[in-house]
Amino acid sequence: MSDSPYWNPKTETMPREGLRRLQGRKLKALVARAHDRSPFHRRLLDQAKVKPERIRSLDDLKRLPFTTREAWMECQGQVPMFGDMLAQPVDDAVRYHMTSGTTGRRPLRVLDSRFDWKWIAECWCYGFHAFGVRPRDRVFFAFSYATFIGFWGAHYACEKLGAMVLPSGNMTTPNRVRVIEELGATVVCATPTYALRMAQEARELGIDLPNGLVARLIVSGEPAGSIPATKKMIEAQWGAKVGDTAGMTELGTIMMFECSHQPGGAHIIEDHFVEEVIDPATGEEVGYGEQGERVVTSFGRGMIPVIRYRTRDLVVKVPASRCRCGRTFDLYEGGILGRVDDMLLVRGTNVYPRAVEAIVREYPAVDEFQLHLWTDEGIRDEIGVRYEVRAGHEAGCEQAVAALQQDLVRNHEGLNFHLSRVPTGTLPRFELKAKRVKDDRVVKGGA
Amino acid sequence: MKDLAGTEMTPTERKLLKAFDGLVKLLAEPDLAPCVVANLREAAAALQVAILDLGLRATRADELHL
Repeated sequence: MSDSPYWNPKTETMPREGLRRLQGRKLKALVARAHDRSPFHRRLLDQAKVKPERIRSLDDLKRLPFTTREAWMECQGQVPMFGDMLAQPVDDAVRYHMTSGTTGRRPLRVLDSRFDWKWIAECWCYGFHAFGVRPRDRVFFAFSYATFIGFWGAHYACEKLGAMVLPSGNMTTPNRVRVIEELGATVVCATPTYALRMAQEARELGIDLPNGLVARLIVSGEPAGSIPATKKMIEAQWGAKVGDTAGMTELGTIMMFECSHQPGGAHIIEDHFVEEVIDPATGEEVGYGEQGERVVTSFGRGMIPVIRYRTRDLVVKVPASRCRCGRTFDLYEGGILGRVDDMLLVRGTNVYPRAVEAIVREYPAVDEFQLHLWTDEGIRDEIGVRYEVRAGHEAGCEQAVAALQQDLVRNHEGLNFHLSRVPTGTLPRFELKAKRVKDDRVVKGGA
Repeated sequence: MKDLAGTEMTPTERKLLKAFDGLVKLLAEPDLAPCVVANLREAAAALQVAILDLGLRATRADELHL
């Protein structure tokens, strides 16, 4: 095997014009196959009067109808258990998974074939290789290996790369930290929140992570992996570099990864996906540098064709030239910035949980925190941050918290944030996606 | 023979396609033992990923149920 910095040098460095041609040809095949084999997609395409044979290039993408999570859920309700979106017989599937259900809606059920799993692992390989993971590495997965698809594909990617996988399944946090040290893990995969939780546990156990063997953390599952202050905190507590990735159960794998140059964003795997960014209100595409909703089309998964799926993720796309790694794949600056439906409306002010985290993480005195909303006197929305103080940061803590409050107010058009300290260990810790918003308002003001 | 980006395929890429097509032919042989069928399918699925990676062919061998 060559020592190329790219997993797939041919496409990762392909000039944009060639990449567009490649995407156009793959799109044509995808639409034809979806129309031929998936009743769900045939219905959508026919309703939009799209004839597959008239798809000729990537320019035709905009003629295709959007797919939504609601429509996907509805088809699974009408045709239990898996809906009529499948493009292959259920018997071709070798594994079942479901969405994590963090939004409180009914989870989506997904099936994948043996080809799909090889492809799912392949996309993760792009990311692991780009961040410097090699066959000599020992990769620890802080992951429960259940129905949430999470790091399953990453596990297989590491086997494909030839690295040694250290699975942890249902281990407790102290055991995980011990295993990382005892087995000499050089790479750790976790959510950003759980990476911080393990670092805290290591301190309590007297394990010196910053001077240990872990050189890289590959994080996924939360926007925090690209929040500079959070990333800096994880890197300091582990003495290791943090690389962000993002994927979704609807795709089965990741569609973006951060390379070892850490350009402040993540490259889109554009030979396997087309990513559009649209204005969520109008559906019109927005330009480079403008925030919008990501819409994904996948060329890989065989069981479930994904065409123009509205993800509700907020992103800002920037050109590949923003990074000096040589890839021609565009980037999402700052990774996933949040969710279209994450926004909380508090007395007329927009509050994004990710933005609050970005501010809170600038203050090392704060260990864990929670955003709390409630209704005061039956009419007035209030917002506060409950926080725990990190061990060893008692001195100067009051000044830090006062400064944090000023920062929050200044960044939210004068909206007052109530800060309240809670005892260490009071706030919930998370292994998978963190839920740091507790909304107890009588009428939720989210947009 | 050109790839999906419109570039002439390299000799190695053509060999890769040939290897995949060879596996497809093998899978059509009668009376293959279950262990042979299963491993040929694993190999075919893996090669199909490489073909997709390199943009050599966009259509799928759906008849193989990979």
